[in-house]
Amino acid sequence: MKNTETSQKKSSLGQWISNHRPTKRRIIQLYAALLANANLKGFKSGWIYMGNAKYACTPGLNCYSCPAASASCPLGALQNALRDSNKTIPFYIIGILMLYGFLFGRFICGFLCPFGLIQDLLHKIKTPKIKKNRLTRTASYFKYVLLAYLVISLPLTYAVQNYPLPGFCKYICPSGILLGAVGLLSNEFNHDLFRSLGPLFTWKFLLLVIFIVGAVFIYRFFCRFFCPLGALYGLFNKISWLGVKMDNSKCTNCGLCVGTCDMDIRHVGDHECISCGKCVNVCPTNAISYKGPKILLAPNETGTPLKAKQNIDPCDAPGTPLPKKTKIVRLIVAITMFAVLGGALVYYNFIHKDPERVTGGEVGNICPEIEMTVYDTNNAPYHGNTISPSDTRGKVTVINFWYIYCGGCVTELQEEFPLLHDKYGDRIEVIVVHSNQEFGSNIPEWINANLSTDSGFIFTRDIENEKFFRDLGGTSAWPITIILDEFGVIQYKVKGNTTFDAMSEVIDNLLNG
Amino acid sequence: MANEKRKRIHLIYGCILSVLLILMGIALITSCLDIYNSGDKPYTPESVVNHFHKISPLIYLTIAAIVGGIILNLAIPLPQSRPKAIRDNYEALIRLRSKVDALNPEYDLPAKQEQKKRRSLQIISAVVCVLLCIHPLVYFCNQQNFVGTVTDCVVKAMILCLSYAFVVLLVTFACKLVCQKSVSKEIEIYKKAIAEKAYSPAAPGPKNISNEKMRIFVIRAIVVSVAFVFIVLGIFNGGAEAVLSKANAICMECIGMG
Repeated sequence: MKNTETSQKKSSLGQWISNHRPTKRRIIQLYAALLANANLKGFKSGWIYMGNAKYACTPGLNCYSCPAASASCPLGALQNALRDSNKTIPFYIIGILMLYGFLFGRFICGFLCPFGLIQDLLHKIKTPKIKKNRLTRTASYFKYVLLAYLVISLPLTYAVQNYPLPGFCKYICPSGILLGAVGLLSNEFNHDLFRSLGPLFTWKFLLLVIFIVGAVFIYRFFCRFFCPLGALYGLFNKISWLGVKMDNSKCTNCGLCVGTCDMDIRHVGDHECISCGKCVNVCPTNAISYKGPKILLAPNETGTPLKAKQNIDPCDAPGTPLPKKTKIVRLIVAITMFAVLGGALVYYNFIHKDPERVTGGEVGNICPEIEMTVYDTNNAPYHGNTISPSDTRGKVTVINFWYIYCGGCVTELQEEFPLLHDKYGDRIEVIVVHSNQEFGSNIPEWINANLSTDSGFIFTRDIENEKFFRDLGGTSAWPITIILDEFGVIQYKVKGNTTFDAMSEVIDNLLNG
Repeated sequence: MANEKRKRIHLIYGCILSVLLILMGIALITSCLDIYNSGDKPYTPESVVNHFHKISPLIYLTIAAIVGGIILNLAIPLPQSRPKAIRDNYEALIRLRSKVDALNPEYDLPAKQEQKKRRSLQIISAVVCVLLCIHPLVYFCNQQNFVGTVTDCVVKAMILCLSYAFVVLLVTFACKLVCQKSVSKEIEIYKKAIAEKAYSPAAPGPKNISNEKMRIFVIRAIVVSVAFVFIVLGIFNGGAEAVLSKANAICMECIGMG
């Protein structure tokens, strides 16, 4: 009797485990999320990954300011490339988006996007859900408005002014706050960035909370209504290599597929379909299957109609026994995928080294001595080829580190720093140091076009490996502003944007003794 | 336990959890606004920790409720509900039309009228939507609208865009509603005609699947070729460098700074 009871319990436990094991789709989502965020040591060190792997883009939405991000975000890269579109056509990122669209379409949303995975998990929380209806179907077109306005129009409009404005990333993207801000700020080495938080962070945090709570009640709340990347990939759904497809000769228009689907599809495989495959198993005539190589995903060709009530992940759906060749190929693919993930984890966390964190350059220390090249700009009042901080001894010196792709840096240089010249004239020196990494940008040309030529600033370029910037404790976040007294001692240091008022208070104190 | 009782228990639990989640969301937003309004340079690690410490009981309660929900689901699982069917009216109409070569005149006329009505409505709404897009387009092309504080300009442009987008979506929604009704009417006409055999059936013939497949193949070939050409061109014109340069620096605006 006891043996029977025990074996019954074991079989029900086995049944429970079988019913609740992660589906293949969930495993693929976790795999993709881990691969896109393989630089796990970034959470501990506080550095983002700064290496050549960021030439590549992850297919899904994954902020590259996340400490763990292993590659670039395609949406951020697109907006940034559009900012330069007055000089060069952004072929590279457009080509990458077309390639991802062709290969995957919105299969990326269903399988490869880390933020999609987060929303799927949030939606599992057992609350009453708001079902799709005609209104949500119409509202799903709003993401195209965001794509047209924030992703394309704004960066293009401001490209004319040479001002970097990634509209969607700056004003809406929740990935930046969740993965980027929270990931960076939770590390004590980045606590000095807290002072840069202000209205923008408050707005974006508000949006993040709305998206997270919304995702609990509404399936894929962000993806359906706000994600421009999904909007872009949706345009490729019909021609994508992977995804779901409908065999119209078998379809009876029973409507079970559309009824089962949580997205706002009108028919299987349209621009709203994320190829999750929920419809594959409810189709009574097996009219729906996955596109692409049959060897990788089960097309569910059982030959017998399945019961509509089954709620099995179609990747796991029982079908005809797989041929030996298919099993071998799948084994090879699985081993390769794990090797790739293992290799990525080893490379990012053990082989690739972050720059050394320097604790010097604090208030009260002497400013490090670095000789930098002076840019040849229209307003070079300093007639020398190189300059170092000791050259300005005897005067209060403001040193600002900036980066051409940093919107905050540009705003600061255009709005706050000219006020210093207006107030102090020749009584102070202002040295503006650009990162040594220019990546093809013509910095002097940009300076001549966008900054006042009679500012009196000395524009320089940092030396190799951004040594000056790093020696002052700079990581990968610009701007940094320091103010030296006449003896070269650092009296003010701020990471992030500063204001004329803040600098003026310090300079006044120094000038008045 | 009876299914109705299970559903009731789950509904009560779901409502409680919904309230907790919404309260937690409101508490998080309120704390953030409190910190922001507390003064100049308000965000510090200490102020953030203090504020969230105050709402931590609510957060712990919500997490406990979520865990409780998992246990509830294991102990009293809800029965699987049958998926609802949502039939596409357009698809149904296409299928009916494929059976019919020609309707008798008494059915053909009203059917054609419905088609005409739909077509005119779609054309009118398309024209209205295009006209509504002109002003935002002109607004964006005028650089004078983007001189000044970036945030102010962006917000003004966003309000303009949203207003027009709302009207466009409203027009589209209204058009869809009316078209759906018209399609339903046409389906009724076809069904009546078929029931009364007042039509000439279409001859069954081979469907032109190969043309459709060829079209998709050609489009795919073009897209992938153009993609590869663009990537190569982008590598040579510095596009790849631009991607790397941005990704190697923290995007301060993206994480809410500045």
